[in-house]
Amino acid sequence: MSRAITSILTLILLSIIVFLIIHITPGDPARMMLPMESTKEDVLEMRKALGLDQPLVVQYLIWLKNAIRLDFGSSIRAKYSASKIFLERLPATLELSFASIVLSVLFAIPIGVFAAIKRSSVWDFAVSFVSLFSLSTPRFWLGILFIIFFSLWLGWLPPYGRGPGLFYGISQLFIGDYMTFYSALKHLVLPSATLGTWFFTIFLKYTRASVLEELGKLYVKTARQKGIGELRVLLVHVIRNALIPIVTVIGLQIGSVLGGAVIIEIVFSWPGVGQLLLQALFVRDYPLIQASLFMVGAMIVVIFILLDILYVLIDPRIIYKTT
Amino acid sequence: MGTNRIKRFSLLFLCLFFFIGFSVNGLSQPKTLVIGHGGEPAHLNPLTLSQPSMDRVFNISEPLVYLDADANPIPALAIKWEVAEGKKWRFHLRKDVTFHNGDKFTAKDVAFTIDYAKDPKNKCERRGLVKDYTYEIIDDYTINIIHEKGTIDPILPAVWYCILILPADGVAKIGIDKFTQGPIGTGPFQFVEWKKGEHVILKAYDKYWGGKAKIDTIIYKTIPEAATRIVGLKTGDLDIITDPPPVEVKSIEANPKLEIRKKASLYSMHLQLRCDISPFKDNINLRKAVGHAIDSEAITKQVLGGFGIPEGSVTPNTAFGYNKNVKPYKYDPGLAKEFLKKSGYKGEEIKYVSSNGRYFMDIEVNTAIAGYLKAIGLNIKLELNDWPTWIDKFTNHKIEPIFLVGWCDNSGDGVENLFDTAHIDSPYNWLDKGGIPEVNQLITTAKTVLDKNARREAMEKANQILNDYYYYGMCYTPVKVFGVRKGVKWSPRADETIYISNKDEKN
Repeated sequence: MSRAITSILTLILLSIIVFLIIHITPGDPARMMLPMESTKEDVLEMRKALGLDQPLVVQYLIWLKNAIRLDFGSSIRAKYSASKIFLERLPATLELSFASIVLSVLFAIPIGVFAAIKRSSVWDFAVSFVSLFSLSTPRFWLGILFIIFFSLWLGWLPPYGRGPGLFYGISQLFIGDYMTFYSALKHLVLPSATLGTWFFTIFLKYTRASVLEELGKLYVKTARQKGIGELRVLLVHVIRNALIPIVTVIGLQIGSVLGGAVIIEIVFSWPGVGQLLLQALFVRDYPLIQASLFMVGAMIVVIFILLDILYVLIDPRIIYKTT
Repeated sequence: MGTNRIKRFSLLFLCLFFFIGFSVNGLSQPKTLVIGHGGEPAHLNPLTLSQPSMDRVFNISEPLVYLDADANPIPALAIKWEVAEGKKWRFHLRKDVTFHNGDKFTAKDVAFTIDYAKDPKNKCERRGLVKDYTYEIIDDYTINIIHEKGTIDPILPAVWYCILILPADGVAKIGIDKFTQGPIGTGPFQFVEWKKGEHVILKAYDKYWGGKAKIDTIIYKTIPEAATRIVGLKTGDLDIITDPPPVEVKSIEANPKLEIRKKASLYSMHLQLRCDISPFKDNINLRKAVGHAIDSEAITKQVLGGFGIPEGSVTPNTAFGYNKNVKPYKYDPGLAKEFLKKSGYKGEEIKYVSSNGRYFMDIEVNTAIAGYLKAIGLNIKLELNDWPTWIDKFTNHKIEPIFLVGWCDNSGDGVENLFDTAHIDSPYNWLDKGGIPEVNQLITTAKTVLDKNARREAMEKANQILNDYYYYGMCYTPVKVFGVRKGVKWSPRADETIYISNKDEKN
């Protein structure tokens, strides 16, 4: 219950901050809609038509009243429900974010465990080098490099676009259409790999550190002395305990994924929320910016709640107490 | 022997059969043109869409009078237009036109379009062009357009080329919201699908009044990143791309399957000096110093990669009223320093603002100009502003004393650029005390007189006076660049839109 109240208060505070920031930033959406030769009077007329001539407090309260009914207003540019526009684009961003996190976790955790086991060996050094390179490389540049190599030179993968979409591709598998699914996967590889490199490095480092810490604990020595096999010690005891901080890091990075997706969406022409938000910012489309940021904030709050539940599943000793 | 002859004929017949079959099949292959575009439209309502996003809708909807690739007026939904009773524009409409939903086009659709655009509730970007006009429907195929003050704009048919006609009954049937997401027009291509952030698909309209297009389908793909568009062109995924950066042009030209096509734009880019405030107010020597300090030839060659034409005025060489005798200022740093000395300039800071990504290579051009000005001893402070901030300052007259700005008169006539920058009635006249009386008079003449020669003379003279006044520090006409697959029969346009006519082809 207290978590629910905190979450709601967080969202209200977020909405106030977002509202204030976008309204005090220089730039007028009414002016942006009109041609160069428009006069101040034309702009004032447009502001009135858009409801922007009202005091800020009134504008915010109208927005809040409508937001409670899940009506976030109409996009000034698209003249279409802001929440509908956001929801149309959301699946693409979720697909990209999910794929990049899954890819990075799939590689980072086994490699991180391996690096921890082979601490100070040439393998550990190689892993450190790769992670440093990945961390230092701007994702924008890496994305373009991938496009040139895999699309232009090798011709293996498409350079841009989402294709049919992974969710649709999966649904088509049930009717035996493998090509649609294959096309969706092909379109997803490069952008998710590009976005995933950053998270791969972070998860890798945390996995290595967390596993190293667990390997140094007494219960591991005890388990070995009891004759339990190394693989079982690793998989059943060490990794399970090491997962808690790793899951925390993954959860914290989910917010970054949504933010980091903006650049990747531009490079790969991925039709997601990041690209939408950037375009809305350029033209000061207030309703669309507010709706998008509010809904992203709400998603992150929900994700954090789900993470808390996940902790309990991983380690039943964790109990949440209310004070 | 007979059996062999039969076998031979059968083999010949089979060969012929397959040859004809494949040929016919080849002939009937759908022709799809794929265009890689840097921008995504906010929606598809042609009257409320901003100019840079008009590419898609220009293929779907049509105006009364269209402009050809060189911005000359040509008949579209109007076959003829004339001045009637001294103060009305009379349009005679084409009779064999249907909208994509089958409705016949008549004068009532023109009337509906004007009413829709005029209504402030519809927030039309084009409202400024129609708000002072009313109409008289003479019959189904004749309509008069009248200015409420009884004046006549000599170039109204060309100015209204971006007033694309909406279907009155079509909008009533499906509602404006649905229309905005999937428009209906009379154009050579009809709307099929819009996947937001990805593509807009159009297909040839069978009953187009000008004859069915040779291209079956157009796909406008949204690809914001220039490098990605170039890869798409090189892999064969795209047939036309917009705005390849100058550094990539050589690699496109080096590809045997690709080429660069370009067209001088109707845009005029110029370095505006605010003559209404210090330091340029009443200081022609300082303005002369700026004019002669900048090497516009080098900027257009090196910074813009040759995709710019130095000019002496804001009427580009593509527009009516261009004066070829008005030349760009001669680059002469020595002369510039002499004028600087005469101006009494004491080293005070001069603020210069650049937009960020609004115009092609704007940051690079402004940085180069600032460099030239600093080289002669001006204390220039260059600031970058994003477009919303920039246009806010511009509208409220709080903009810095030097700024680079682009004006575009899409009607193909040079008078609007002159009016917007230098006439006393323009809110964006940066001359002191409302301007130069002779220039005001000349521009008024060019805007109101019907005689073409008189208009041309007036504009040419106005441009000369402004050039002598050193009102603009530098001017250039941008050249719009496209990367194109060889075998695509399409020509760029001066208004920069990618319009695919029913005569364009792809091999």
